[in-house]
Amino acid sequence: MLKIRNIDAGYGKIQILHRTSLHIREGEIVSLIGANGAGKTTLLNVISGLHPLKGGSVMFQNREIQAMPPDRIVGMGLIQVPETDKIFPPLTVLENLEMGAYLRRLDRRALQSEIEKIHALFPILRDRGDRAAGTLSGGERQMLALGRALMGKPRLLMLDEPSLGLAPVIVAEMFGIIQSLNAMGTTILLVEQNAREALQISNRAYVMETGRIVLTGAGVELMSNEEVKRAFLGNDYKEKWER
Amino acid sequence: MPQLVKLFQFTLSGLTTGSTYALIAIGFSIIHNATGIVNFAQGEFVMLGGMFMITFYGYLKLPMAAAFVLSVFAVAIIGLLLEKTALRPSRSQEVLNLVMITVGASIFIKGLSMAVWGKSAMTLAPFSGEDPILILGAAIMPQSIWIFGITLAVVAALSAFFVKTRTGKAMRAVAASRRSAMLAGIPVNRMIALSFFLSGALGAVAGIILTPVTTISYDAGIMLGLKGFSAAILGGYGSMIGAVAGGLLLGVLESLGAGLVSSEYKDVLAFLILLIVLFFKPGGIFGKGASRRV
Repeated sequence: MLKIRNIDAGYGKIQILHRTSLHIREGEIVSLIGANGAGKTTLLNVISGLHPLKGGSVMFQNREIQAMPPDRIVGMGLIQVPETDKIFPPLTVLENLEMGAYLRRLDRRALQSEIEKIHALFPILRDRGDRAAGTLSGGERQMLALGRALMGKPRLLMLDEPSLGLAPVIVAEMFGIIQSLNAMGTTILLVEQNAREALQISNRAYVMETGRIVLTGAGVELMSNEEVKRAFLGNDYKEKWER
Repeated sequence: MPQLVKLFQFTLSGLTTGSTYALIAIGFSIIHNATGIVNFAQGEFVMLGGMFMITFYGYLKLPMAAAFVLSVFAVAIIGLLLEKTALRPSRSQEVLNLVMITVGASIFIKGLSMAVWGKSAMTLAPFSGEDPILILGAAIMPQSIWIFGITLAVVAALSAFFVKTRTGKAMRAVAASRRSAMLAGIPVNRMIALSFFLSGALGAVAGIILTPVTTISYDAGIMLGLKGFSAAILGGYGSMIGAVAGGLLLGVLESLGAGLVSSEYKDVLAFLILLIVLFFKPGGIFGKGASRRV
């Protein structure tokens, strides 16, 4: 579904991504894990058309998309929920959702029924409908951002740190929602620092380090990989010492 | 009570010019919100509006309504062209460079207008007669009523556009966060082009309704642009209510200053107010506070 080949990208003279390649098949949950500054967000922005690439190609549903403007990429169903800057603070919650469906040109009734679906998934957004999105809490913002992305009918949803800054209860809920979205047919690319939960729900995963993919494999497989344990699952590693 | 009547008279005429400042200020705000730049060609849009109206209505004798619509449309297209041919292709998208391009465009438009319409000031007959109407002892010209009415209609229509329509909401979304708008699938470049189109139209309306009161010449744009800019700063740059309040307030203060002190200092007063605002409340009346972390 998504095939990325040998991407080079960076800021000015500083190269961030070095010949990065990965692919995602339809229906999968794939996670991308790596430390801060590994280039995960840059990679997502290259895919979304926000960041120019210096070399390589991005194919989505067998079409090259690396030269397309961001709105056309969204129109094809490749939608990102970014880590920062994810909502429109001065617009109301309802308007934020509506903007997620901007390209679909729905009539009033169709738009209403799409919004209903989002409300069913995140009831809190119904109560907050007329409030400015900037007044929402961190967890509510994350739900709004996800809701807005779903309004665009994504085929492949790219989530950048969806659990960041959320209370543990809500994190579990968020991962549950991601799994059920996947069960309903949305392919998912998950970028996470919360490696354990991410790997648990993923079919496959990639590990990124300073702009390079250094490891790849099935989610559960990577969980038992010594290298991954050392780098990302700190607490587990302690078990080894105690043994 | 003649003193009080005089004050009332000054206030009324201040509100008249203030309305047009408000329209110019909204034009500044719309472009600023979409792009982050100050468009120094905004005043030229006003001048062009007056010039086109004189051409279509005064010379070509088109019906007034048709000439009005045609003039507004013509300047809106010029706004669009400014964005598409001068700003968009610029290799640097740095704010300061883009602002300098608008300064250049302003000089270019002014020069071209001098070649087309000549150097002398031109005027337009008021839309409906010149018999003043007396209200509470103060005289109000029918053109002033046109100016209020049209400004009110334009502001109401714009407010509805930004709150009710899909495109209007998308423009607000772009103003809130350009990056977020791109990720929502909003064609940001089209929204920016639209903001120039709208600002051109707004400037043109201001020029058309103002011309019968003040006359217009090829070099009138700079002063009108600066007045609108001051009004926008006074009200809070980027805010629509702020632009309207700032425009009206600036118009009234200017008129009171001219009437009670001396008309020599009319323009000085506007910039004095601008400086005072920048010194003491840089966010303007409706601004979001002075500090912004960068």
